[in-house]
Amino acid sequence: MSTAATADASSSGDTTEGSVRLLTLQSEDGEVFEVKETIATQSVTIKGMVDDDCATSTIPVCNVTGRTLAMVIEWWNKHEIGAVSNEKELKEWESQFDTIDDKSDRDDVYDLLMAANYLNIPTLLDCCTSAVAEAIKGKSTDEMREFFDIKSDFDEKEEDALRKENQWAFEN
Amino acid sequence: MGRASCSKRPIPFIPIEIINLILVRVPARSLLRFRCVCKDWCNLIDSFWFVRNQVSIASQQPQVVLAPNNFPLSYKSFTFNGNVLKESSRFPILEFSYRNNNCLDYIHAGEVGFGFTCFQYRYRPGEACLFNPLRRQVLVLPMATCIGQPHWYGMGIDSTTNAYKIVHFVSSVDTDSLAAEIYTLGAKSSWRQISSISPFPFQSPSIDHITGVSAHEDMHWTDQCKIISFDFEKEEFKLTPHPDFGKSFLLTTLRGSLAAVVSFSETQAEIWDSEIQAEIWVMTDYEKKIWVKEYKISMNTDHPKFWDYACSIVAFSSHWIFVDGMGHDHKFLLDLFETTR
Repeated sequence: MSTAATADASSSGDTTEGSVRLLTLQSEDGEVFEVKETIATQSVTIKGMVDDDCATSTIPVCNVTGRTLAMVIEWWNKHEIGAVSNEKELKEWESQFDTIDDKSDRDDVYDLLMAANYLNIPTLLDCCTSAVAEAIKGKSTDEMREFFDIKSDFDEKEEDALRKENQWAFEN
Repeated sequence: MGRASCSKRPIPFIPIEIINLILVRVPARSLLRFRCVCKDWCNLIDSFWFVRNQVSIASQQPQVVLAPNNFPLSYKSFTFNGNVLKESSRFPILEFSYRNNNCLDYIHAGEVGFGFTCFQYRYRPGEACLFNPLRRQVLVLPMATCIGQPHWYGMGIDSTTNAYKIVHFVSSVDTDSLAAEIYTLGAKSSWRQISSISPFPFQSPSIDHITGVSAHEDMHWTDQCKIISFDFEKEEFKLTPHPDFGKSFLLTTLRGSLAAVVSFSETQAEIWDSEIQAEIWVMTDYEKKIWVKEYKISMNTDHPKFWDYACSIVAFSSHWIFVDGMGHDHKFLLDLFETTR
């Protein structure tokens, strides 16, 4: 587990380490993480809670597992200063998703996507959506249905007509 | 991410708004395939908001469509993998033969934004059509009512009404002013004249510089000395301030922002010196009109006036620019990461 907390601070939430306040986040499956406020406020959702003074006790992060939350915190730590990723860093991060076809990697990206959406972390959301877009752009219609587990609701005629509209997009 | 995990679990339901965020980053050619995935996706990809989002992200996509200068006109789509610009289809996307199979009668008048390109009918000034090569849509515009030369066209969205608007303007023949009119797509409308600008803001308007650039929700044109911009919501022209580059410049967009490519080939008066230079200035804040010099390019070419003759510059994939030196068979791909800041 990689959290930003280095000191063995008490788990009462509103703790301070030097002048940096620590926030306590609790994942859906009960894992507890202590994260510097300056880092965690990359999440617009958490920033809102801090600004409204609602972040004094443990913050429950529903819908996000401990495993995913650890990955999110890793992302936060990487992007602490300025919080704007440069192109090279982005590429580095994206390279992790090169084998996104592997099912466990795909699940990881999905989890991160959902967490980034729920916690409202624009930079992470940007990165994950780019990674998925990069992974799917060469796929056929059938491969896409499999990738996202979607059943077609077109009948054969309708699909044929759609294909004919843009035949060139289906040619190699 | 190589850690083993419980990989047999079902694929989670992904909300359509996230699908939207993913699909706006996919090249147009893939999108046309993905329209067939299911009805929801088809509606999403065809929707107004999608087109709009995609435009704002489009500059990040490593895909380019080229219209060759020589006729007959056939569009080709290229993909770019960081090293090679590769033709993505054996067949031209579209061979343009809108009227009488005689494409020679049309002047390619440049991109107008939103994936559309404008063609003007050579022998009847004021007649034009818009054309989306990826979607193969042709949109014939009604005969323009403003009389003058040359004809500029631009396309934009009025965010108060969510309507596409086409602006057409000319350097008026009799008065030294700019005459302009608007055509709103969808509605059964015709050209509607709007207030003009006097005196005409451009110096010696020429057919070579009628191509505009769509950025920051406005459309921008230049005569290489001034930038004139059109606000589709207010239906107003305005001059967009820029630093005194001291040289002529061309417009493009870089990462969605308006950018000026300033050529320094003339000051390198050594005609035989094959190294020419250019700077790329990017408008980082459109509200406050802040320009930042982001790149300085040095390149070798046997044509010292290359930048002066460059007719179009297309920036894509956030750090690549494509320069088309019209009539000189000079086409360049430059990686801005390789240049110094």
